[in-house]
Amino acid sequence: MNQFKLDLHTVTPFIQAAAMLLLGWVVAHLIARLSRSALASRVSLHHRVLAERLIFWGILTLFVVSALNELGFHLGVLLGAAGVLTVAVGFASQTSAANVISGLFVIGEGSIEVGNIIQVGDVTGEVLSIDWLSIKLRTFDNLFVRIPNETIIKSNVTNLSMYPIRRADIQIGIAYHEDIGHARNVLMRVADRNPLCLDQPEPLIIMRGFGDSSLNLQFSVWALRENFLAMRNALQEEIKLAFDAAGIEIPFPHLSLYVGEQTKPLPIDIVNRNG
Amino acid sequence: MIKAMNQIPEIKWEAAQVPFNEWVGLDQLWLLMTSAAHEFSISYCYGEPKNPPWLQFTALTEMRFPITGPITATSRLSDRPVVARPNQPIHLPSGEHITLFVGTTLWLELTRGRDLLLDLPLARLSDTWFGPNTREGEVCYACPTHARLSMEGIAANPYKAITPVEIRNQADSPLVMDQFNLPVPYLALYRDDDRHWTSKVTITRTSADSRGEVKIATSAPPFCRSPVELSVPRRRSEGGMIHKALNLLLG
Repeated sequence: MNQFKLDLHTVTPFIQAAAMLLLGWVVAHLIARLSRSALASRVSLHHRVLAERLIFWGILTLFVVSALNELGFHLGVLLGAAGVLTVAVGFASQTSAANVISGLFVIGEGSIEVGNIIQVGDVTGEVLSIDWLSIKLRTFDNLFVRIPNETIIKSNVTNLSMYPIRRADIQIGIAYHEDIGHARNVLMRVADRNPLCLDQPEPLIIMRGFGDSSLNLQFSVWALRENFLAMRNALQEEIKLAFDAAGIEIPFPHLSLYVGEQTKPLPIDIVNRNG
Repeated sequence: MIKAMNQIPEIKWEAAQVPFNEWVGLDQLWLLMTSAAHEFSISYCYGEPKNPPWLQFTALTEMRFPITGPITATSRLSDRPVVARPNQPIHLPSGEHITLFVGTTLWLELTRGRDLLLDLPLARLSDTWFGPNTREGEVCYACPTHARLSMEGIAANPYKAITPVEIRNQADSPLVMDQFNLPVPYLALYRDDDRHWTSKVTITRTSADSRGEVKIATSAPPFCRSPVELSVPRRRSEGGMIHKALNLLLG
């Protein structure tokens, strides 16, 4: 039993190291929080979060090194061991390492920031954080989505918050017998009356082609990023009302049965319901 | 100014008394202010001046506040720059200068102490973008204007402020201008007997580089007789000068 007894000289460095780690965690946490509030009005949320993490991990690393030193480890030996360990861990966790490296590229590239609205594949949401392994999103239906950094690097990412203005492309069909010029005037008046539609860049009407049942038009209207959804919703309703008021038909699919000269007329049977 | 205490508050907008418990039309803005015990509420919506919108139940915004101190109503100018687009482009030969008169919509601001209760334009304003492309530029309000060259024929409008804009073309080439960016948030608002005025703006186009210079007068324009300052600028410029790329000033 005596061999399991620990004397005070053996235990003391461990207690000191543990105390140092605890102190380091508290100090790092406090300074990181202070830096966040100090930077609150000066830099964006994205840079604030980055600075907070750098400060936290930087201070904690210093305390960890001191704690290891307290336990009698030498930094040079540790770094050498860490190199060997890194190779071993790297082989064992290639995916995680790829995500960490990808995360550094995502942060360095600066194309995504915390608070941006991004679209990755079929997921659209607000960026909550950019972490070592993944980006966390909150979707508009309030779901939490975690996307690995490697996926972000490999796939197409659309940042909807990059520029202050956005264009809504509204597809409209009008009946073949309608006057395109008249429809164009009605659409421009609708855009003119909606205060959320930007005057400049001017709304654009593009003839998309001859559809099966309709002349297909694209009505492209610009709005401020924050008004985009409100403008697009209001505009579609206003277009329907304006077309109804102007007597412009929005057709549904039609199927015409044509009987040419070479064929006989379609036979019609009149059925007597009374038998 | 306005005082609102525990009894029915007395509200004045400039010299006019704003009645309580009835709809008031200020250009396109329709306001209904009511008060109950310790409470003050505002409902507003936009509609055509001769077509009261509450009959149509259009989007109505309602706000309620506790009455804890006097309320101040102030006429203000726009919180964003305004893009003035003359009906026809203006041609200005090299070395010439002209003065245009541009009318912009007034805003109504209600404050209680330092708290902002309401800050609204008296007419619904249309957003626009002013810049060389869709990446560089500035969000502004659009303002179709006659941009008249003299004050003759401009009827007094109690809901608009007139800005004298002097444009100087010091470049070697003539200037063809179909729109220009008016830095309204940097302007002060004045009033004389029958009109509202803003500080005079001078936009200079030089040939030296592609930067333009905007000078904002620190006093009322000479056209404003016996001026009374109604509100200070929303933003402060350094020494009344703003330097911008020319394509962010003239278009």
